[in-house]
Amino acid sequence: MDTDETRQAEWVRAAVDRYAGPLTRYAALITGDLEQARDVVQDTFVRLCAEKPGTVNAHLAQWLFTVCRNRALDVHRKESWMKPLSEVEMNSQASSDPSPAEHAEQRETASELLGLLAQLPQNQQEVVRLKFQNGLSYQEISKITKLTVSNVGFLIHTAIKTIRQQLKTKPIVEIP
Amino acid sequence: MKITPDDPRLTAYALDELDGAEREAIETELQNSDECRREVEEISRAAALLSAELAAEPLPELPYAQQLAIEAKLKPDSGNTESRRHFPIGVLLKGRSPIGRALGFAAGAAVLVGIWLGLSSLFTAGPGTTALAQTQTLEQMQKAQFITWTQTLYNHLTGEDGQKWVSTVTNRYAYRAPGLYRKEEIHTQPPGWPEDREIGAGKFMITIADTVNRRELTLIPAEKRAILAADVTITIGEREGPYASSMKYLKGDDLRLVGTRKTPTGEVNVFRLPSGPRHSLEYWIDSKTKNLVEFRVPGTDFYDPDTDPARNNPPGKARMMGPTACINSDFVFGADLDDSLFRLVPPPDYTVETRGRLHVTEKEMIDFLGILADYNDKTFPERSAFAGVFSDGRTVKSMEKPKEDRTSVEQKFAETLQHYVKMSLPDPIGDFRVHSTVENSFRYLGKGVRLGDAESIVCWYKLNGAKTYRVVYGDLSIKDVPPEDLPLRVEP
Repeated sequence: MDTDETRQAEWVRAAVDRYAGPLTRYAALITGDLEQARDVVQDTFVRLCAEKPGTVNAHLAQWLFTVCRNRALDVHRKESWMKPLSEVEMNSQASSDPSPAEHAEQRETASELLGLLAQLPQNQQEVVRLKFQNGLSYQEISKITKLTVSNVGFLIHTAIKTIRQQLKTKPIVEIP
Repeated sequence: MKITPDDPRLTAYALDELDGAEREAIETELQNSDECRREVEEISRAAALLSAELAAEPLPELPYAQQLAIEAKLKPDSGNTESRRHFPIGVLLKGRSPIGRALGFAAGAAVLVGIWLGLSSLFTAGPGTTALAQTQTLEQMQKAQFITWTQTLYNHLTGEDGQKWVSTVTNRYAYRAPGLYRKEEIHTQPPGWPEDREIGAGKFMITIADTVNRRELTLIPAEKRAILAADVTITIGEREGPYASSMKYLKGDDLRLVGTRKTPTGEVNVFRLPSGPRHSLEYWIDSKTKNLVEFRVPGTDFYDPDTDPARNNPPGKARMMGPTACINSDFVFGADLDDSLFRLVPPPDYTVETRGRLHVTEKEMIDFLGILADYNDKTFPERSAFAGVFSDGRTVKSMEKPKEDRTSVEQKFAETLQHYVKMSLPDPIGDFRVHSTVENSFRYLGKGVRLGDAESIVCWYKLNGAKTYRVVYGDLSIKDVPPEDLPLRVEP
């Protein structure tokens, strides 16, 4: 393996190390299935192997989340014949399922806050997680989700507002 | 421009998402609206809470098979099963799942090939002395204020001629409740691996992590270099304590008693939890005391260093390295450690790189209060001096003095102020109040209280998400107190 190949391999390994977990969690939010999410993340990194660090590195997180999202939506569309659900419907549906992290780690409890987050429409959950869990900017989220920056801002604003209102009206209790 | 409290631009402003012109416009508007200012503060608090909660969610693991598939794409002999067997440890995830954490993959691509060189302050007792005899029960593990332990990684190395041998890697860990970790290691790399440009090979490295506040300090003493990162995903350990996720399985129904073993300290019962086709968790519990003696990943059903055919093979020039096993042992509960080992404050003569947004932790805020009181003739000052600026001009005089002319108290005061200015946190108490406490819950009663007075209250506050109040006394001790037990009525 020459120097370029070595550098390329190290770059991909560093990306796997840094982003595999967050991407798996993100993909699981879309697919609703942890195993499918893992396949999606594998595909994402396999695609990264074909990229040059110089062309992607400046916006690596955005690139990874974009590819991961597109692949996850493909899988979701393909696998959703059992319970047809368009992307639009998915985006506006209030999720009643446990969060991906709960799926992944079989958590027995969730905080009140995460319980409230799980009740938000899927598109709000998605941008909130991209922003607060993955540290992405409005601009990056806009590129990943193909929403406008204003729309991203509105969704996050609405999500925070809803959560704040719910927190004010609900006592803090653990969700069994 | 007119804004209302429901304007999404306020959220964008609070989240630092506006560019210069928009930001200035909002700031102008905020000057005229108490309501909007409060809204920004509330949004910031909600955002901080969301970030903290979401950060605490466990990360799913990418299984070995899928990592193999990625690795195969990186090699010219992609698809060759032989190369897959030599999958290097550095590609694996860094300790994010219970298994990953237990395997100590935090070593990452940089693998310790040396032995412990006595550089560590954690090794004052020496490895393998009385630690095993001091192991405690799971409850003790969860309740212990301080814990130290040794993590040994066993890696199979393969030479050019295909011969295999075993390399061991030893890391030392310490934990301080709640949620503080310290790891000491020597950062080196196996032959043939590309140089880690972040931290050079062979460097002694200390990592101190605050899982509660999501901050991590990396110290490289040889370079007098520190990296202080905020809002990071902590990979050293879990917020709830060492291996909390894995230890909870001790109470589960899937645990099986698979036999007993003789150890230097007596017989242990070996409990195993199957965990997929390539892993298991194994807990070695002293058969008499029921204390945890070792925690192995995987268990001896997959790997036992005592019977490894390659264990006595001489080392050669490594070509490949594969993950084998991790054994956590030498647990010492209630270890006698100094709190300063867990401080996320770089030594003053270090160059500091900061990453992410930093906020003042509770401990830092209380330490700062103590330093203010010490400087103010051992008396807690009035609130107006919270940023370290005393109205009689003392601060300026102290700061202008040459270092050698300052008293030790002045020097500590000056160093602390400079530290927070360097971190862009000139008002540490204010920063803590805004980012870590419930609005209007911070109450200061410290003016005139003598430093060391364990009976007098200096302040109280309610941490975000908490149900009780934290009360700080003149000796800087803290008590958790329900609202009804506070001496003044507080808002519910």
